Amino acid sequence: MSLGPGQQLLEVVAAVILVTAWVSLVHRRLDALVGLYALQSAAMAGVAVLVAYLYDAPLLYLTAATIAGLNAVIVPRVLLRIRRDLEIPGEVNMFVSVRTSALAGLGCLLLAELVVGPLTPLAQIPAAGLLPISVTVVLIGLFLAATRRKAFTQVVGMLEMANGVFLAGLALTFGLGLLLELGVAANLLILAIVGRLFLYRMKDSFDTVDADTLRALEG
Amino acid sequence: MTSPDLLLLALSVSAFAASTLAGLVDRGEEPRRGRVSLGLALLGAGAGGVWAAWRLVEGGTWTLDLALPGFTPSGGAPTALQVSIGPLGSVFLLLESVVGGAVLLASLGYLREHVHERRGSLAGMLGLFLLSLELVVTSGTVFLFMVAWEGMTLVSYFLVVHEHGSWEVRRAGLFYLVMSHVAGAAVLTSLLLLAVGTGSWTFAGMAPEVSHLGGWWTGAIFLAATLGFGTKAGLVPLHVWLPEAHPAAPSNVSALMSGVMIKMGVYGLVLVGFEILGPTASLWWGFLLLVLGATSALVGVLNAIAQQDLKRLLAFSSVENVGIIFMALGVALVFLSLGLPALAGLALLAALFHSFSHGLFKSLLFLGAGAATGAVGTRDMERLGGLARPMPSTSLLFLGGALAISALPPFNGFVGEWLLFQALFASFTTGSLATELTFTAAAGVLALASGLAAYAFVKAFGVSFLAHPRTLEAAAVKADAPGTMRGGMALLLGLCLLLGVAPFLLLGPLSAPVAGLVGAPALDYGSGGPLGELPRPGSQGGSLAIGVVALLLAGGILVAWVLRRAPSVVAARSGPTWDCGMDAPTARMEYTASGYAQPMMRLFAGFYRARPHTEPASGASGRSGVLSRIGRYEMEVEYPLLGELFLPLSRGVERLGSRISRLQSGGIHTYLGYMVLTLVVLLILLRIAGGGSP
Amino acid sequence: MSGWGEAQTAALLLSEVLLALGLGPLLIGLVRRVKSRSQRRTGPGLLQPYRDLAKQLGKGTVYSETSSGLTRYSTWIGFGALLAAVPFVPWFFLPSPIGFSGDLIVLVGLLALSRFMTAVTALDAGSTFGGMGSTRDMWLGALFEPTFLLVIFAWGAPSGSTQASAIVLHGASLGLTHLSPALLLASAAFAVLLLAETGRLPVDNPATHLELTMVHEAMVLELGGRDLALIDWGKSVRFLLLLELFVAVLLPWGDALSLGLASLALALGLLVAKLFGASLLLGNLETRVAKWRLFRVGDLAVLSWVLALGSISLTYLVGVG
Repeated sequence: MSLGPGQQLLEVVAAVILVTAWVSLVHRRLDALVGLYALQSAAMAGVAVLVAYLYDAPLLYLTAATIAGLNAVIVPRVLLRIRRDLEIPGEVNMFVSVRTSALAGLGCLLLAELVVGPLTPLAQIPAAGLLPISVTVVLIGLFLAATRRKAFTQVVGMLEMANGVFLAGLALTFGLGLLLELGVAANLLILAIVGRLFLYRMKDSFDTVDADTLRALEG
Repeated sequence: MTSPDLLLLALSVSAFAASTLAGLVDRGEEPRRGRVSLGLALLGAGAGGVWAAWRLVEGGTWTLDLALPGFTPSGGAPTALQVSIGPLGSVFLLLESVVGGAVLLASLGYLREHVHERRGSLAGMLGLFLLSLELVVTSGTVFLFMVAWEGMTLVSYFLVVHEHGSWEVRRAGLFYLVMSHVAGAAVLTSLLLLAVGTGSWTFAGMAPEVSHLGGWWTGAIFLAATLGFGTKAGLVPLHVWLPEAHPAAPSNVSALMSGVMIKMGVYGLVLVGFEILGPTASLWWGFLLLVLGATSALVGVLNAIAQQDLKRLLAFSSVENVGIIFMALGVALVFLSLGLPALAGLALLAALFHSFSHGLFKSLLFLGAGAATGAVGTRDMERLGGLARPMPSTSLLFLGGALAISALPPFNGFVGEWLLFQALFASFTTGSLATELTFTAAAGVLALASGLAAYAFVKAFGVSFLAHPRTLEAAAVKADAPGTMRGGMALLLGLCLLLGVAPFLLLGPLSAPVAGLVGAPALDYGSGGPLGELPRPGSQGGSLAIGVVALLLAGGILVAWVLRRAPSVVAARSGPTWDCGMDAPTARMEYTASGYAQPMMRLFAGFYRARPHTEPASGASGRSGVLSRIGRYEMEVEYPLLGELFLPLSRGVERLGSRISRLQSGGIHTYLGYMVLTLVVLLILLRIAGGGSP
Repeated sequence: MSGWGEAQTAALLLSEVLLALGLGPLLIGLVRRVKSRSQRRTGPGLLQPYRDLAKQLGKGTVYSETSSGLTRYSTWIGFGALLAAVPFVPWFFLPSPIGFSGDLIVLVGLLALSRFMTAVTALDAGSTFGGMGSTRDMWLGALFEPTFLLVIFAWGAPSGSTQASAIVLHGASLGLTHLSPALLLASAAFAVLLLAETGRLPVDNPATHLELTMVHEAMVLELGGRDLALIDWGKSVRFLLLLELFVAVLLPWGDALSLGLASLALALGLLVAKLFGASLLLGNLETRVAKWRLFRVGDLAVLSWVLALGSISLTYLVGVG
């Protein structure tokens, strides 16, 4: 394994993304969850910068700046603001226990390695760990959205998923598909806005942000 | 033939037989009854031990064909009688003799103090039990093995129900008998499949022929063997008899059953899985054993934590240790089927070493528990306590056993687990992610199990032996255990420490049998290196010179002692325990056994299916003030894998039973009669089947 | 070990033990100092732990009337186990003088022995608090023992050894590529373990004396005088051992490989610098977090297992890539 220091750093930053995803599974405070998302996005920007530098893709610097500004700063701020405005209680309510979630996080990594591990040596990707980690982050985001009660947490989960998709795109395309990144970034913005509207609407109509109460409307 | 083998065998067998007779006909004065029998059995164990040691030094296999009238002496016939002891058998014979000897010694005192009826027959049955154990490991043919195996089960049943005055003991005994019977059937199935498949009725004759058998065939044999031997060993989910039978038996019997008899399951599986089927091992066998073993380790130790009955706690801890041994066997099989015999040897060495270790410290703990529970008259830990003052030696010996079983250096339990950790670590040479992750996870399970075992044994020792006596009965204990009991326990603890400090004393003799079983050159564990360090296979892993570690430990303790003992200006005083300024602390303020277990039960509430009920204090009642309001906290616990798993099975049996209820008379003896009849019919069938082809 | 004079081995061993005994209280004092400074308190001086030890060593002992003989010897064994563990951690000279005689698994065993003895002693006096501390401490120990083993496996995988010296030497030989994601993940798991094993926030509050929240302090409530001194000193040695292991594996550079005076001095200086840096970070962390409810620590333990197992699976990935 003759990794240059650049690739090594890339791997490390990718691992940071993985750890933020895992820790977001065990945290019980919404604000901390948002903070983790911000950290994850900052790491994502770091990945973009590194890929840009290592593979000489200057356009990616732009992407990195977008992510750093939008995902790491603006979106978290908006989210925190929403939480304060809507007076959502700060606790994460979950359907499964924290310990199960943590183990599920490990399961996501194993599943990802099982699925994309064999592809890794074939694809020309910047760093071996990037692809499985991106799939893991997608899975964890999905898990987070699926097993948490509050709509707010579900939004954070979806945002993490989007981060994962972006990372996969970066890994597979060497950052050449700028369109993809921009698309993802735009999606994020839309997601945030939609999420905000969604939350407001729910607050207005039901006076709660517990998605579980929507069940009461069924049948 | 004037080999010492024959002499020692004859001496050992005849001493055990004489011990049985002497015990059964003993009409001496009651408190002394059974002494002659125990003495003779000690002689038998001594002869057996010398023989096993001689066999291990000599190497190779020693065989004796017995020509009895009506039985064909040659190996071709199903009823051939052949005594055969190879390296593997010698290892287990050594275990039986050492543990048996110590337990017999302790039984001298135990019988006098704590057994109140039929001492003679108990002693005699102990002799017969040891004889059957010796026969199990020295049988060379299917026929003799099955006779010895069923004999072992029957004799141990009689030992379990020795105090058959109580309904619980009879129930536990019957439960044990039924499960052992099913296990015996599985063992028989496995061995018959082997015999039919290979066309040989001797174990030695089977091994060369197994390569002709197909994968389905060997897989079926292995599964049946796992079922049968796993039940005897107490593997989850076949362990359910074990926590019932062990507490019901007298403590010296529990010591032998847990220390030696359940190891016969390990012996049987190594015999079938390695010695005979080893070359044909498939990958899934190893993973099956690894998963079963890991499950047993966790289920066993988690249950042990929750117990209030001291002997049940020890019984569940046996389930845990058997789990660890089976994990090691599984690891060995995985390496074997991956074509890595040296690593398989390391794992198998860990399994055998740990079997030996567990035999030593578990029998020690059962004897210590027997002394404590016998003195107080109850097995409930909540009613013991404060025994360290009247029984200082017993409590010190029990503490030593607790340290050993918690896998702490410098005791033998640590060395066994260290070897297994090294074998698991060696998975990084296989280059397969699945194996690496499984083995690493197994290492995590093993670490968790040993951490939990330490938790269980701090609880067992602390609650039973330390602090205030919890009841008047416990406070009334005045004397330590009898000298012979302390002697037996001290012998066992001494061996635990010796094998912990100088493990190569046992690993050396074990390495040749292990090398034979895995078909690889022996790892040189005999010399132990210039400083007693254990070598590692290839360049993997770490090394261990536990003797040096023990020296360091002694040095550290010396430093602490000097710091502690340096002349002090102020002399040590004693005073009452601090109690927040209330009345003098009483036993009711101590942590209870269930209180000690509570954090773990809460963490694993899903496993225990614990349901806490809290009733708040009803406001007006009681004295005024904050402290005297009485609330109520209850925790309901179910023991998993006992009820529902066997419920459908038992319902089906019940339905079947009601159909053939005409055969039922309700007495245990009738059922025993049926079993004997079945055995006889089976033997006759074998005789007929073998008659055609001598 | 070959080619070494016995005198050199003994001198190195002795210096390691003395270093551990001498440096442990200083680090505890440093962490306290950082905490008090960041909380805008003056706080006790750096050397306060030494003064406390001296005071306790000079005091007489009061034993509970309930306790048996166990309390009179168990503290030595616990302290002795910690001293015996010292040579299995890499200090300033590699390979460790008697490292051949054990590996990190031995370290785990010796730390567990010390914990076991303290937990048993806590039950001896029959105090409710002793039982409370004992069960909680064993509970934590059982939960984090898997973490320790998994981290050892993850750390040891690249060098193929469970021995601290070999792991550090291999790591140092890799240069910067040593800092792989797998290593960082495993080290993160170890950091969680470090907080739990040494009774730091958020697992246990080393400064509290409120009975119902204590873990370690509740266990040793019935001890006094020299016994308490041994326990406290032992606790600081345990802290130092784990912290040193952490920094040595994470930053494996700068150990002396030969017995030259200059290289030894340099290595010693680097060792102290690394430890001070880590203590500063830890003190900062401790001012930022609050103590967690005991049962949430179970979640933390599972997270540390996940980190360590994840590290193993990444080892494999990077090894292929």
